[in-house]
Amino acid sequence: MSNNFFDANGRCVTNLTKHQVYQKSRNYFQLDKKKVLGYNNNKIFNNLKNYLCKNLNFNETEFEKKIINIKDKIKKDDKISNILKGFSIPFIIPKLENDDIGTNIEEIFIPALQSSFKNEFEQFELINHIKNSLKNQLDIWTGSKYEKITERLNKQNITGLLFPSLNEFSFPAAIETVSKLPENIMLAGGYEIMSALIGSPSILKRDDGYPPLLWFSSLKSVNDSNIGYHIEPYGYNLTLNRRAHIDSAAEYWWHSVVIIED
Amino acid sequence: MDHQEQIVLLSEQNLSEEEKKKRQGLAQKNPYVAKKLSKITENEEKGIISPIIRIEKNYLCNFQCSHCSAEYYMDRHLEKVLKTEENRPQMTLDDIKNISKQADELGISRFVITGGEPLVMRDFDQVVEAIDPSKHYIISDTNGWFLDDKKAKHIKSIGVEKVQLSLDSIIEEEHDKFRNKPHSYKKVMRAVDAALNADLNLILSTVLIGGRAKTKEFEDMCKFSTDRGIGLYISYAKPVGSATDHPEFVITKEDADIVRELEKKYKIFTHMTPSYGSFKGCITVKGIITITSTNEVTPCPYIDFSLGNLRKTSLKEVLDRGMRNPWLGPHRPDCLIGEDPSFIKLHQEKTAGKSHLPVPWGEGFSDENKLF
Repeated sequence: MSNNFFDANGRCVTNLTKHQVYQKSRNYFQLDKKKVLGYNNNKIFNNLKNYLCKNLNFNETEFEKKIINIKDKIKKDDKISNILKGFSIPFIIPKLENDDIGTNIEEIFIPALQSSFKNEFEQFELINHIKNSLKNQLDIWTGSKYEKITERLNKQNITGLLFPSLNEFSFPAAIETVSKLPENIMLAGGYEIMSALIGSPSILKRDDGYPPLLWFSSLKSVNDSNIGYHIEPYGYNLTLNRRAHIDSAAEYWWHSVVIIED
Repeated sequence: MDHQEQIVLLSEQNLSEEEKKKRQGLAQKNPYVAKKLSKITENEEKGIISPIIRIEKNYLCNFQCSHCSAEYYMDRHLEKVLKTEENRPQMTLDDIKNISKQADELGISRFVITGGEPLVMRDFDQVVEAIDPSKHYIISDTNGWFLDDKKAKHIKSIGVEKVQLSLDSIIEEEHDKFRNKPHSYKKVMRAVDAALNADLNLILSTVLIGGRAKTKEFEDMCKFSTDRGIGLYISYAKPVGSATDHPEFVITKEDADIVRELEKKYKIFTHMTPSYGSFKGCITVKGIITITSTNEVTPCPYIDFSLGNLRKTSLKEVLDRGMRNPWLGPHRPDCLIGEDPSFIKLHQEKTAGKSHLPVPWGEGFSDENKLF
């Protein structure tokens, strides 16, 4: 019996939580493998440099090395190596001056994703359906380990990999599961999801079926603990929104983890 | 909250000018219903669902359409095709009063009278009264055949606020052929004018079969509706009822994406189009339920699996069953019965050979359901 926390498809095991999770996935909602693999590190780096991280102190070659290093370390760890059998999407988050996650998402990440998506698909757009400002509205779920990322972002930019491997987990299940995974695996937040999409704008576009919704898994609304934030496609467009029922699991709802450079 | 405050609250919502005017008019006329409608989005944020309740008191109809989802529920089908009869207890006006009361207690505010063709029902006025226009916003489906000026003014006077009128092609011959009813297109056009003259809110509805989204006829229809200022509801064809033997009617993801793009240009929407700040995706249970003539609750008009019978189970428990079912659940972006091949197959297998639909709770949907 494998001791790996991830199965042969890179999906996280479901026995670390008592909360709602689909024990098996029929893989009905899927990312398009060709689209994800269609982005090489060079292209991802250039998208991120153009739209999100204009003042990077490293080049595309060094970015590629960082990604290879992260993957090499994962490969050597037989408890988590299977995570590489699923999707992995590189990202960079720039050093952030402001501590407020909502402000950063609103002022930096949404405009960057709108520009990157528009550059890739001239006719289509990222539509923000969240009516009120996100400023001072987002907090971190206890147990998500996300503080490690926000604390480091005060000092430096972060390169990492996003793994949408908690597919069909509820929020409580995703948080409980991540709390039991090795310390270097954290629940993804808005920065990582949006950065991954800025680097690879078409990964939520699928022509022959439906792709999943991606939650900002580590983030909660400061006023409503039953509300989560997410990105999902609508037709050929992307939408940013918030919704309830986050204690439930759904086939369409995917949570993600991140592993970052040391 | 007084009248005036209510009107201000409604105006503050993220609505079009036209919709604001309609809601302000309703707030003046029926503040109780207006208040319930205005709370739908707020309730959804709290996880409280507010589905539209479709009432199918009976299935009498003067049409026999190629794509009718209710055909297998009709006496004519049971008697002429299956050589059997309807022997289950039928919905009464008291059942409807009970449903109305339970719905009101749950904050639910919208009822659709459907069928069959509602305007051939002899007790249509009593059904409206039993639902209670002082408590609920009432909509009626119709094929338009009987909706002349006199009828439109009458149904408005007894408390119907809106009609949904079927139009299946902007080309007269094609509509009449699809509806198997000569002159039905002309009657729809007459009904459009009659509804507007009677100050009824009006939407047109049309069935989208595979490939139609790409046609000139479809875009012409979107344009016609938009030019007249009338919303056009696009209903995906489902492989049920009369359309069971037409797998080619099922739309593709491309068809769905084309429609979603046309939504930007025209006043059109599907059951999954975000509206008034509500982003439900597939609206089964979250946005709609159907109550059949035998008091069985199905999660949408096209899924013939019951979530329970309201003579045995409360409306609240039936809704809870739907929300915890893995096929239906809290959210999915596609149409379960119109697009998901696994569910379509399961539905066809479980309904095959059944003379009396829907399949009861426990035999189709149940708390034991798995996706495999």
